[in-house]
Amino acid sequence: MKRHRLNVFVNAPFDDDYAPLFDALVFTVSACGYRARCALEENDSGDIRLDKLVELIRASPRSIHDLSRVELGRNDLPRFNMPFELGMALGAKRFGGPAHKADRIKIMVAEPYRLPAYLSDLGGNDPDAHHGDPAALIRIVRNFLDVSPAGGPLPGPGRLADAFQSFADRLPALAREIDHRPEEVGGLKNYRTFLWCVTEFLKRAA
Amino acid sequence: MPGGRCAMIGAMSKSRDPAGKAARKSTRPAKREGGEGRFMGVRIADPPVKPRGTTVREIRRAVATVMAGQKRA
Repeated sequence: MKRHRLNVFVNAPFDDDYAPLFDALVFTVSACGYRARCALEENDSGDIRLDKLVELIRASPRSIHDLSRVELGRNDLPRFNMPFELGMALGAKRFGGPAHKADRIKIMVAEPYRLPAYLSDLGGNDPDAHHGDPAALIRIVRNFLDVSPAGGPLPGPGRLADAFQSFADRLPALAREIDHRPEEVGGLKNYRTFLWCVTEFLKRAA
Repeated sequence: MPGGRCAMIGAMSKSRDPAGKAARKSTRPAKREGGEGRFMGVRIADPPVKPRGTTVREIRRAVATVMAGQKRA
């Protein structure tokens, strides 16, 4: 996998509760002119393998990590995937040589001021809290990306949130047009198809 | 020598490109399948992977249909 300046590695929970946030995340990265890169692009079942993650991190000068899942799962065990992948990205930046020195990393959480309680090694970092709200997540991602790949201004957070809502409203009809059930097309359901729906919508939305 | 220099350059170009390939290339439209598009002035990049269970062409058609407010019978 080739490193590309547009690539943004997305490290987020793959669960149903997170689906609206994941969709908003992928939408915002695309609307800002970048390419969301995610483990789901290789295998929609979510079977993440270490080599795949290494390649995605290597190929992405920017990465976004959502550490909002800190509670125990249904099996009473915590999930370490997101902090683990954040650690890989931080390791690449520190030890990955000149190519990774300028890598930019954004950490998001659900609630503010709780990170030191479960990841005190990251003390001093100031993660952004989205409170489980897609509009807040859109603002965080948009502000992190800062400018378009060409160096131009990005649409404002409110405009991006409006566009995301407009896309979400049309997605069921879009799914039917490609002979899918509405619930079958989503970022966590059929990532590749969803991503193309997002980008083609954006090209016609402005 | 009015026009002499231009005439010389023209003659050289012709001799180096007898089939006129350069001229044909410059008039040929770029091959694009709708990959170029902007949102609020930002150029939208195509995803790095193909869709699953459908085609890019189908998605483009579907988006065009839905955004035009039409419904398929």
